[in-house]
Amino acid sequence: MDEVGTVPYFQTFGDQRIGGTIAMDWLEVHLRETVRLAGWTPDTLADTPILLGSTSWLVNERERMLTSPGPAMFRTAEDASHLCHIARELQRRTRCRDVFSVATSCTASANAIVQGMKLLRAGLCRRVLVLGFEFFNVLTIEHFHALGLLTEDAAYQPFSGRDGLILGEGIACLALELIEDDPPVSSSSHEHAARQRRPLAQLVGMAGGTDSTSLTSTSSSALQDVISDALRDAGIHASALDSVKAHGVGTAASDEAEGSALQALKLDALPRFVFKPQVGHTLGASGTTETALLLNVLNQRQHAANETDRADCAEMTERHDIRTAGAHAARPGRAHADIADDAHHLLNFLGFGGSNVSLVLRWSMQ
Amino acid sequence: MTAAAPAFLHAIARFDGADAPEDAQLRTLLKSQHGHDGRRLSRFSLMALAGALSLRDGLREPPAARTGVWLGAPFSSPAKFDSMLQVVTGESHAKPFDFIGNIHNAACFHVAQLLRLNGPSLFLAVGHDAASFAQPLLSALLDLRAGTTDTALVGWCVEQERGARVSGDTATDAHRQGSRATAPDETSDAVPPLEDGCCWWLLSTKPDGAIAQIDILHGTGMVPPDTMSPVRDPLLNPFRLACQYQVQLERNPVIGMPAPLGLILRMQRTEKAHFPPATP
Repeated sequence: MDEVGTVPYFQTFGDQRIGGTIAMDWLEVHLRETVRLAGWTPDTLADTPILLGSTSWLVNERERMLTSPGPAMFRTAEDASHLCHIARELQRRTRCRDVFSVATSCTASANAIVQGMKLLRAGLCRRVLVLGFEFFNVLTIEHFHALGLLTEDAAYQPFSGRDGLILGEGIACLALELIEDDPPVSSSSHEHAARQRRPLAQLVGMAGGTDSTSLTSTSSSALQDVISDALRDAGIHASALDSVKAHGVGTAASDEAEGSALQALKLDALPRFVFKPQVGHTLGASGTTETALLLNVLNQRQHAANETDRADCAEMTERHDIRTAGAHAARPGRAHADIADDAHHLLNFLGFGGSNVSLVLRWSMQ
Repeated sequence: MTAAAPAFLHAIARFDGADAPEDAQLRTLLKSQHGHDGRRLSRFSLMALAGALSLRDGLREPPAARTGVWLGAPFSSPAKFDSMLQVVTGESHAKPFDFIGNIHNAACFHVAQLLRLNGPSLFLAVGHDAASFAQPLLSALLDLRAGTTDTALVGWCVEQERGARVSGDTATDAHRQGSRATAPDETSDAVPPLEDGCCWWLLSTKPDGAIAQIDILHGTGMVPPDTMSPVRDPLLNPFRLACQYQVQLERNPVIGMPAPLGLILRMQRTEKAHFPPATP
């Protein structure tokens, strides 16, 4: 963890601030590596819709243009004020036709997962890639600080009664694939091989909602509604859940609202995963980042019983560049090692703009 | 081949930023027409509200939880962002309300709040190619089809950079004065070169009273080729394009809209179709 001014920050990409070109390189690397780890052929990338989610997009490049000499990534002023710049550049680099850019604040990549699931469920494609990313930038830190949201204490402990969060940067990419139970006989050998691979997990439920009571805070009742919708979508009752990956942002009001929602739904006794103390709040990237971290923990369950253990992420299908990947049990409930071999997990993501997203993930011991 | 049950377009509302080039004018207009005080909101959000609130009457029946908001735009408010960026160079102090007011999905929130909706809401950055324009519409259609929403507000909004707007868009001015101004990149001869504003479509699963039926197609075979919107600009203006589609639908019983994944969205006008004015 490095100090930036007087507030701590989780840096992932080294001491130097990275500009737009390097950021694009990172994004492309993650896409290609995720395709490889998923066992897809490299040319799959051109035919697979990409769903992007971020909060700050290329604010880092706008700042670099202000503070450092050198060629600008944006050709025109209009180009600079265009969130689609990354989509267009990825289209050029990967030849992928369809890139979606979701911008719903801290739920951006969680909503990108939802959008990807919608495309898959509608049968419009067989695979999607969901890429969440967030790069260090001063603008976000200064304004979060001005809002009184940042803690100066390096001990980042959501649900502890402390008030304040620590920001972070990161990239995580998920490969989602529609796997049919009964594959057609005429399917190719590659498709057959892909079906033989067991997925890391199944995304079985999703829901999103808009809490229209406040632009900046979440109400317990609105979150309860979204969680209930996600459980309904998954076709399970709350009692079938085995753990909760909480949003756990660390501000008193948000933690209280989320905790209250979990209590109202009788989910407060479940093991609760909170990843932000290990990686910081990666804002729009938290959807993919924290989903990837949960998968890491589940797939290395023997280590997860100890909340200080770190998970080795080298062989995961999802790719992420977070140096400290691990699980933090804010309120352990029962030990993580007791999680069933076939278990359902709830994932919550909350964001400014009243944006709430819940996912239900089914994970089986492989 | 139709890939989904149809959805229905029930109403279109448009706000042209040229009608209130100054933000103060826009706030006054919002107050007088809709009774809303838009203090601290960006021009982007003000315009989005000015358009969306016109559709309030069409939203009376459905329960709030069953209505979602989808908004496509290249960016939220470039002017607010440029103002915030000055803190990086130490030329100003961070202003929390500027930041909160200019998160990209702020306009979605304000629309949902004022119309008392709490279904899903989504801001999608669009404008990098013709198919991207249809992304918010396709996303809404999939939710309507899946039954997660019964009603959808789908909008496209653009806040033009202040310099271009206040100093006078000569093409728009020429059009307003009755002369023939041609947008350089889009070929519609009926839509003025709109730059700044928003256009909202109200969609539902119910056919009664609809302007048009919308189907998701896997090919162009059922759409007249000459109705497919010709867009050549790599950075298209989604507000202008939304208006262009409206004009095309007024003129043709069936039009096609290129969509992601090689899909075509086919729009078939109903006999009862009634459109708001497409030109100032």
